[in-house]
Amino acid sequence: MVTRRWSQVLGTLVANPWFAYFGTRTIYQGSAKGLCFPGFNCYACPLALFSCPIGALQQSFALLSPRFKSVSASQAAVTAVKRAASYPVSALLYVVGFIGLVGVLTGRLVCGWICPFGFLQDLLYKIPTPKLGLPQWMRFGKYFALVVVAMLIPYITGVHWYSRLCPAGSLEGALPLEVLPPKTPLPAVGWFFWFKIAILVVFLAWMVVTKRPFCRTACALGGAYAALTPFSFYRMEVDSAKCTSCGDCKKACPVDINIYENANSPECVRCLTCKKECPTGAVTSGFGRPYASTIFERESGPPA
Amino acid sequence: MRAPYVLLVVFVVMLITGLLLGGFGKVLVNGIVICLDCIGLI
Repeated sequence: MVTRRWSQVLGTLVANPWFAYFGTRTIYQGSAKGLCFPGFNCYACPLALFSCPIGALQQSFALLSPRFKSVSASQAAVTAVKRAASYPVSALLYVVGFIGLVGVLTGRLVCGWICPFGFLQDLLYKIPTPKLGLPQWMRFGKYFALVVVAMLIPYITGVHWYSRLCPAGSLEGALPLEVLPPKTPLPAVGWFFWFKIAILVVFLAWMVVTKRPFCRTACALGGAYAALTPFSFYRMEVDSAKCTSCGDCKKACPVDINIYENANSPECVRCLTCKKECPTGAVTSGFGRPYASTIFERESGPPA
Repeated sequence: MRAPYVLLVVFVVMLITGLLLGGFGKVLVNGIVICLDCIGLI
């Protein structure tokens, strides 16, 4: 657990090392911004060094839209985007390839170990209050967020609505930029800003009483990684001969799953807490041949 | 089951093709502009 906490701290620092902002009041615009950070981290954050993969994904869809229009305060910047978007498919291929590669190699390992927004949720849940569960159907929200809000709606409307509503964007981008504005003047705050803040407040309150509610219900990046988790090369395994179904793993799990029912559940963030908590050592994990944990291969090799 | 290997190849090809066609630059420009574009300061 201590190792994972340090990994989360490190992930947060790697994603947000641009402390020069405090002196220059200029958002980083170097070439690292062309790279996507594998976790959920807003690239509007004054400290951000890399791009958000979901922000880049939806912007690619928005650029492909015949109705593309930016809400930027700077018309010059809009023109620059349109010019640079002469081959928007290249950005889409790059971003989908990046997200897909991370997902198929590691599943949701990133969510559990380096995602800054996941880290925040883990910390907030430690606040001692009465706790609430999460209805199972709500987990489909992250797939809706990915397919409809981050891809379909940007394509139809030409506007990146996921970013505009994203609580991580409000927390890491909008609020810090209001408190410590950049040299380039920002437009005045309007009603939409407060609407975003209201969404953020709801999620922050929810994070205190429920385990990782954003990851489980609304994270489009988590949705993409979750869809690929059953195919990922990083696998969890539960030895049914050792497992006593005591439930200790579920009690410790940050996303409330029974690992012994589905070792490679799309909900699993690969935090490995279950592995540590299991009293019989039934849970193992590691990179290996996908599907190696199926009963056929574990007991008698693959069917002919 | 071959699906993971097929997916791996597909995503690697997409990533490399995107890079070769200039996707890095597109994300770079978008990443800079979107900073001030989508944070809801309207």
